[in-house]
Amino acid sequence: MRIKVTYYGQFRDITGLNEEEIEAKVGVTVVELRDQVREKYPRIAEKREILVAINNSFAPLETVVKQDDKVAFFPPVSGG
Amino acid sequence: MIWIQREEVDKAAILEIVKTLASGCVVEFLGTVRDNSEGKQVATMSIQVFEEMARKQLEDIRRECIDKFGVHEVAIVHRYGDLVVGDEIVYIAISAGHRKEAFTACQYFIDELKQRVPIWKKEVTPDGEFWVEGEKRE
Repeated sequence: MRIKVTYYGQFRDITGLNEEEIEAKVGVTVVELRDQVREKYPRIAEKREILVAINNSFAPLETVVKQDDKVAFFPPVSGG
Repeated sequence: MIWIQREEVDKAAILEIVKTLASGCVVEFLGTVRDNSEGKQVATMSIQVFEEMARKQLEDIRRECIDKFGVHEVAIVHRYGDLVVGDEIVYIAISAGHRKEAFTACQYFIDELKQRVPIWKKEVTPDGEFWVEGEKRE
């Protein structure tokens, strides 16, 4: 299945993208999808922490991602 | 009350919204753009926000402040876009019956914001542009 992922912060600079579709197996978990992104973008893999949100909430690593989920990858936040 | 906006903050108007007749105080926090960061001169700052999620997170923190500390009203404005040194980035105003809970809630709000609200700063210096590294999320 194809999952739409969105990047924010420095990850937009690294990927050169705001969003893209990633091919993943049915039943993929957050940690597996994160590993796919790490493999695709070595500069993201170098980061000490990669945060993942699904449908606007932080997602536990074992969460199963569904096709229509809105997935976002981003570095630790730095607002305020 | 939550605002995520490019425009400057109308602090006086927000203060009037937050004040209630039952409140004995309002504690405010104002975050601004510094002219330096880790020894580097900062000229301008660019702020990016994941607005839909940021709004949800800010609403959660606002509700937690009211539930945990019993404060009366909580307002937050966070700006995004291109800012210059001295510009206001974030404004929090919290009313409460007494100062202790208002100060505690204000500290809680800004600390939580820095951990879990998806907003990122990029500093522009003479040596180039640098994303500000956020604190590790616990």
